[in-house]
Amino acid sequence: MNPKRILRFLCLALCYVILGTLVVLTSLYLFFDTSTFGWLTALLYSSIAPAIFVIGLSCGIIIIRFSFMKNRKGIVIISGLCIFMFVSALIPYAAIPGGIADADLQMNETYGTAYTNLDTSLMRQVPYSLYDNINGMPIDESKFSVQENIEYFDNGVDKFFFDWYQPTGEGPFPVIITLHGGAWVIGDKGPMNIVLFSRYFASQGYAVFDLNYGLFDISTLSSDTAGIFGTFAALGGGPDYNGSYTLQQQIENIGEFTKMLDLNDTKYSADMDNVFVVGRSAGAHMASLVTLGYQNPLYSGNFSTNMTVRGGIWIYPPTNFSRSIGSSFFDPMMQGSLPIEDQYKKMSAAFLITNSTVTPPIMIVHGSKDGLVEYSQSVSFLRYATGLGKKCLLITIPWAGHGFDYVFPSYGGQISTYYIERFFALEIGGA
Amino acid sequence: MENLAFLKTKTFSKYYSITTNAVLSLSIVFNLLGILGDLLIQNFAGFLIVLGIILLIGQFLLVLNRANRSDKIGWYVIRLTYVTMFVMMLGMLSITGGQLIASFYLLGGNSLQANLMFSSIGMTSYACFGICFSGICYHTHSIENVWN
Repeated sequence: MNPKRILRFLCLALCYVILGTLVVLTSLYLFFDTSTFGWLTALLYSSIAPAIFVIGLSCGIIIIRFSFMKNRKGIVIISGLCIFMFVSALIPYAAIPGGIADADLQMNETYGTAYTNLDTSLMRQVPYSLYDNINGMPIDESKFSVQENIEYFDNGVDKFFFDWYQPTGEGPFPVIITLHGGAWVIGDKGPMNIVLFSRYFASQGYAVFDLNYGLFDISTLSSDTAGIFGTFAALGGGPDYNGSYTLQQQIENIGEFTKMLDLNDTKYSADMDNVFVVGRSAGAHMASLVTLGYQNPLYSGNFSTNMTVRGGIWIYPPTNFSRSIGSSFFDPMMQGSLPIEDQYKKMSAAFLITNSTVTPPIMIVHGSKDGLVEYSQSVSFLRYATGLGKKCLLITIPWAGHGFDYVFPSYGGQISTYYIERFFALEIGGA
Repeated sequence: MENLAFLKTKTFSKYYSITTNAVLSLSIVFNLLGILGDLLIQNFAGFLIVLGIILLIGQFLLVLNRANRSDKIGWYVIRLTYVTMFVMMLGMLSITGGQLIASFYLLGGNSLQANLMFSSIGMTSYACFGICFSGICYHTHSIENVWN
């Protein structure tokens, strides 16, 4: 066979495979986002959609040129698939102005003139910049230093560590505690918790503490329950702990960190009167417990008594746990000091906000296409919290899935950073 | 369809090539100037990059439909289309790869520089090929039999 023909055949086959794969990914993102493969696709899809479209379109043109030049039906089908990918790539970006307008409206309604008059000269100037999306968000690396793997707690079974992003200059600096996600069974500080977020805020004058806090060992679960968390286990990652940590134990470990930080606030240049807790996914759940629990009698003795939480940033958080009658697959993870029904309430932000006397301001950031933790959960929480008279905002990242900020320079990371830094500044300023 | 007949004229083809060439050239220039940090320049660079990609895709379609495959030079122009298309795909992968490297901090302290480097390589390579491609398209209009 002619080598030219073989090469041509291979190129064409490759184009078919690429186009087919991209169309499947696009369909998963658009129509099956609640399935396992769907939410996994949505983790990155909206961030890299333009590249997917260009690659898919190029493959489509090659296929039409070499397969269907005399077949009108074939041309129509391939063109249709390319248009489908174009529309799905365009939708998230076309929705960005609407998402920004909605976020601005909420900030204006919540903070009024304090928001409009805020000095933003040293902050990001626009919520979304295509230039930064392509070239990366600028971070001034000269304004901070990083110390990694500092031990904060040893329970005799495992040791827990944190990374300290220390701004240059005289402290104390406002504190940001960042908590990683991973469905309570995987995840770690550092690269698994969006390093660029920590670095950006350290460069803006915040002392950022990125910590690990224990994971639940899914090998201790029954096979059915373990299967549900199997996807996460397959994703892998995280410290190799000797012990297994329930949600209660995980929040206790975080509490130990706040106590250590309180004792060493001078050493770490930490302003314990201005503490913010930021978490993603399962970390956002933990952040919600710190935000609403740090002065709640249910968590008496768990946290430092001297810190003041100025705000909680919950990024795609689960806020409401309900236990089905009989049992729930969350039961083994929920075990704690209270009866299981009460334990569920203790671990649920929707319950804690009802009985908390002290409720720091809350900013929830959630992608509207989140198939893992439903967006509607955050909408319901916002309505409930504001109905109770609490200060709560919901920044919606349009058409973004779970983990939208893992590609940090993309629109999800940019928009969330823009509003989070304004939220910090306004709360520190006492707005 | 008669209204679209002008798309097949030589004049349209020539002006389209010049426009593509100019936009891609400016997108490189403004992308570099954007490093200075001026928001207006960065916004303009972003606009030009998107416009450049759209025009380049249009240029591909124009050439594939109008270049004469029976002519030697025409066939070279068509081959150049595929090469430019391939480079554009690589460029997009390079930009996306740079973003992922930075986001997951794969190269440690060098990740931010890697992001900038990969995106610059990606953008510059497809823009350069696009400039060359549209330039060749423009100049071959004066040669007989290259275009149908």
